[in-house]
Amino acid sequence: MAIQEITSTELVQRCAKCDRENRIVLADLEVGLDRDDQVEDSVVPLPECPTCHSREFLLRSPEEEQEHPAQGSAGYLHRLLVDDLHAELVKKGRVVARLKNKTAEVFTRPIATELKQRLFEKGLKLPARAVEQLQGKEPGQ
Amino acid sequence: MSSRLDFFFRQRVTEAELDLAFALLEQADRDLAADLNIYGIISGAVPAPHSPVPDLTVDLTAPGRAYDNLGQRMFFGTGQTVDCAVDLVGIPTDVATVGNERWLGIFLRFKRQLSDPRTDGNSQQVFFRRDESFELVVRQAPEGAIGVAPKPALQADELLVCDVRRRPGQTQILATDIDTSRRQAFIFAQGTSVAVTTGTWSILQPLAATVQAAFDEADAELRDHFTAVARRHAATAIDYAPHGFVGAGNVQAAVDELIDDLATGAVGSSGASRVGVDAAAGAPNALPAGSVKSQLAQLLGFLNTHVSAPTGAHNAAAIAATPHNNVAGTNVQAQLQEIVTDLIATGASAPGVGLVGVDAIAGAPTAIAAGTLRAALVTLLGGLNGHVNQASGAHAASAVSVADSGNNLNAANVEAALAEILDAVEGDHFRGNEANAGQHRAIRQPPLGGTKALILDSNASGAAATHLRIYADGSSVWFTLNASWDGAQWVRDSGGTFCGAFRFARNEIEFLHEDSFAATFTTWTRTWRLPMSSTVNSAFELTGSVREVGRLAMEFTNSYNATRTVAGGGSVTFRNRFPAAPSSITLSVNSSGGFSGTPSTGYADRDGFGFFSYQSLGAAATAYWFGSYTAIA
Repeated sequence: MAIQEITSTELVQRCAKCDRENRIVLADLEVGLDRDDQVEDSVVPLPECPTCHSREFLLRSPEEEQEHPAQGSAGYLHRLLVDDLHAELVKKGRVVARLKNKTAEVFTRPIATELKQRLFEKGLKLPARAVEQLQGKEPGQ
Repeated sequence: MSSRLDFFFRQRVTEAELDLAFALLEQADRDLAADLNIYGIISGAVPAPHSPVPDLTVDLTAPGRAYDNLGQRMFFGTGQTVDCAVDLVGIPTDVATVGNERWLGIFLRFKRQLSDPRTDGNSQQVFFRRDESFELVVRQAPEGAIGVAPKPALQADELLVCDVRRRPGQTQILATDIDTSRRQAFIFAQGTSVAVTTGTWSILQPLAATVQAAFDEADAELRDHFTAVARRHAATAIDYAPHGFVGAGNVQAAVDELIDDLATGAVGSSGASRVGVDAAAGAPNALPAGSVKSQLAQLLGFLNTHVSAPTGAHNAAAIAATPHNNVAGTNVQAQLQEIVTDLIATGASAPGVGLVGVDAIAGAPTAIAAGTLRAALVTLLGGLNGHVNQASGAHAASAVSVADSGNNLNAANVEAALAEILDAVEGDHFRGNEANAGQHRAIRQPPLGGTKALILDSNASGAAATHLRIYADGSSVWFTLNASWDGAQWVRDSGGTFCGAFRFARNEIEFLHEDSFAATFTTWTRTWRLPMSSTVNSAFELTGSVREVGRLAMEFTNSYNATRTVAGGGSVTFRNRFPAAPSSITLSVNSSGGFSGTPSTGYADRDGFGFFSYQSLGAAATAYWFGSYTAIA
């Protein structure tokens, strides 16, 4: 479904198909998706779910993206986590081969420091209610 | 003085002759007393209750001296005690019947005291001495009713010392039981036997010139004088020594002066000022010693103060009152209490209102006759009940005033008020005398003002979840469930229930949802807006957390006659426009064949995303992948 938490070493993801919680090592991730001679540098493909083989693709927000109309919503918070993860991977050079020498050209949108302190004071982790919303669960379910 | 015996020479005297000589001598002595009529108790023998403790004996004082009617002398030198419990023959003197009494008489009787016994010539014992002595005798009369019991008769040879009264159960004879009114006191000589000379007398004129007649005349004169029959001397003949404010010298003048002085009302010297009076104790007021005038003045002051006192006067119970009609009390307090009790009585037999009268009160159609207030109330109640129960013909509504304390009406009576009310509502409602009475016609509202004007508030179900409100602002009409607008924010009716809304405007329609459970909020967590006037207007535009699940698939064939890498791809359009490009797309396979891995995705925006895959297929081989996507934004 979405990622729930980003630690210094791994990513906590819950499968949208089978709802399994998967812990993915950050070192195993790369930014970029090859297509012919092109590379989609806004995508961070995650490994397939070991259970249902579903595969999640994290998508950095487009460059021309307008300001999110529902700031504070679960979707907005998830967007921030994905953008920050994308930026960190690019920053650390964890990109597909075709982007190895072009990381500087990859557009990134890391979370502003002030915003990170305000929304993720205790780390890059979604609040429980936001996780439920992204799971499609109503409160109390 | 007495008869004599002449004894002669050589007479041989016998005993009898000697006794005769003494007897004659003694007789002469007694004859003298008898001739002079001397008899009675000279002194002593005064009766008194026995001392120290009274009993049924009576003490007589000593020495006692007396002579009886025969001139015989009786004397006793020591006090005597007479037993009154029995009479001279030993019969008890008790009184047997309650309510009766018995009188006893104590008599003194002569007796000889024999002594010095000797033997005479006949060898007989005789008493040489025969001294004069006495004895006390108690005689009793028959008992009789108190006040009428007889007294013992006087005895010819005895002297009555006193009478004594016996009572039933008596154990003591007291002074009140001793009566000396019949005591036979000493009489020296008969007044009729003593002569007087009346020649020089000017007042007394006795019938005879004897002491007895003189005394009788004096007694008659004194009786006339004392009884005022005659011989009344004039008051001017009575000397009076001037005293006090009376300066006259005889009784007549003194009395005249006294009367004049007491009767005068002269200022400063009135009669009342001449009459003295001692102090009179009392509370709260007392009178010091002084004159009648001074005490009258003080009494007048007390009375005036009392009469004028608004409070602190004496208790109403101290004012006597005469019973009257149904009020039986005899003082003001009792009567007031009785009146109050009677007036507040609610018993059907004697209610207080039945004690209050009322005169006739004219009126039509109902009039009140003169009688009690209760009768008047009965008449009024009957009239009122008749009026209230009257189905028709009662007074017009225009005769009933309207207070209108809330200042809501222009009308001043019920008729006008009803018309005013009906005028106000009949434009939008069917009247009561029309079909569909009370139902609305068109609902029209003038501008109500406010950031969102409340048009309708309906909680018909009683549940907050369906508490419907309709608001209107400058651009939209809002239909809300479980939410109200307080002027600045939305307020949740029920804290544990989601809020929903529908907003209708000229250019857009929007569905709204709020699931935070916050008591108040200003933005809805999810919205679906259909922009009717935008150039892009075919789908709802979403805000808030969005999660969409849809289908996508691809299938392709290697039409070449050798293995080749075949590319396939496509695009997905979201059902609604996302608020932003999705940040996550998950592809899950439902069915696949000849397909390796999972399609890749990218090129996403708020309207959809693209997908593609490269598969290595043998000649004429086909690969397919049918699955679903989960996109969140």
